[in-house]
Amino acid sequence: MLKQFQRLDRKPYVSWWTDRFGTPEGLFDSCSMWQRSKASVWVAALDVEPGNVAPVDGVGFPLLRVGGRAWKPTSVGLVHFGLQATRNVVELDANETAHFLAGQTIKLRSDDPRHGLAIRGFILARYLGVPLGCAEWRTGAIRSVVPKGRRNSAADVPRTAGES
Amino acid sequence: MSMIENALSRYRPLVSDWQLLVDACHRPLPLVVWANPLRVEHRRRLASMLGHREDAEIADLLRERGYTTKRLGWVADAWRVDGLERPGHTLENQLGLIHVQEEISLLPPVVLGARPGERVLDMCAAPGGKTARIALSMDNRGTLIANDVQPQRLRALRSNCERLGMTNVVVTPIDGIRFPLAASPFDRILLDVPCSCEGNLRDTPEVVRRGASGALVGRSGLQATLLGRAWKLLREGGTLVYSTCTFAPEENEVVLDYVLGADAVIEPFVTPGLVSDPGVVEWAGRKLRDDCQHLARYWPHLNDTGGFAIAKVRKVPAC
Repeated sequence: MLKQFQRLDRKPYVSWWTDRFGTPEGLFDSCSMWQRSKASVWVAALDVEPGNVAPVDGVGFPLLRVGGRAWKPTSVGLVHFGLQATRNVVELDANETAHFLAGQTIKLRSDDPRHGLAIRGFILARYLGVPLGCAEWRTGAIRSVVPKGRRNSAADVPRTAGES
Repeated sequence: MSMIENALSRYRPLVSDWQLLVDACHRPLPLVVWANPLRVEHRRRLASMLGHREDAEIADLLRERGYTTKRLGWVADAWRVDGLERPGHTLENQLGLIHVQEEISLLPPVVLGARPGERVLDMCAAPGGKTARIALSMDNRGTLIANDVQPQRLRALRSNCERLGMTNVVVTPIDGIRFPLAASPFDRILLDVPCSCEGNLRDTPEVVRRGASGALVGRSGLQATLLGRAWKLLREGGTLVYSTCTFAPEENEVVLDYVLGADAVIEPFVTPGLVSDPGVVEWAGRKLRDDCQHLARYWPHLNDTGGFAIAKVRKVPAC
């Protein structure tokens, strides 16, 4: 039998997100947070109330995986709440975006200026400033951690005049 | 006579422009995308970086890539798109800026008219396009319980709600006929029942072959049981929208007539920009409730869409 979703004190998760991505205070003011297992934190509307119904498969959508040593933001969470991120962000070009959405690792050339970025761990990948999802920053490489079910090996990515 | 014409011939007495219907059913279904208002800032940023005006619409971004778009007249921020063979592969779709949905299936959430702060049930919700439209009409607040019993379809429901950023949706995997009464009352319920799917024949012509094999009768029993359960979950004064993507009166008016009692009123509704035919009050020699005439039947040729039937039912004090 699955455990029931419980409403959480959102403070530690908001604090982690704000610290990690430099997003504005108040980003989650209209949200509640929920947990069913120790592995995941879900984000939902402030006034959402499942009521007397069981089992429940989801309340809002998953925001954070908190089961491992390092907390990992979900890709859907980053797309939704990552627009104003200022830290731990890496910008991709159109080709890299297609590779990222296909779940591939992007290896950086030795002269790529992004080697010098002060970023670490799980980061936000962006294209033209628009959040794409979660990546893992490794020495010399950006590893896509877009879930298998969301990968797309033939992504149709709009290009700027310079890239077309 | 074509397979489609043969399968639909039983409805000939209900259709005034028979040849228009047959012709429409042989044409492919137009593809429709709608813009997600929860991703307005994403779209603005993408548009301005691509050299468009900041207030450029999704249609502007798609046209740039060679697709042809035509705005729908009856619902905001939705377009028919030509040339988009794999809409699911666009970046806009992947990030939830758009959703691809059959045009006429955008209608049940409009008729349901859910508002922010209400408690709403979408009883057979997968794959979630209608769920998302209801969630948006609630301003992504309140509680929308999106239920579906089939695991495969449930995955699609969750995936779509997550991709589109729906925060007021609670997903449940319960058999609708046993949906817990303790979860009631609901202000509004969408009951988009499993059906023989004849209305999808422009997209999937095989559905009419399935319908012809006698699947109708089996579906009616499940539809009636689901409606009976949904009715118990609805509060007095609440609204239930019953919809199918099929033409058969056996799956529409006959089910409503069989289940609904004196505490139900099927109400008329009008959607400017869409044409429909009225429901039937007699079928196969059986007299049905008079208010079944307020069911709206959307034949594919009337609006160049798939086929659909919708009834808006209000729960009133029993006399």
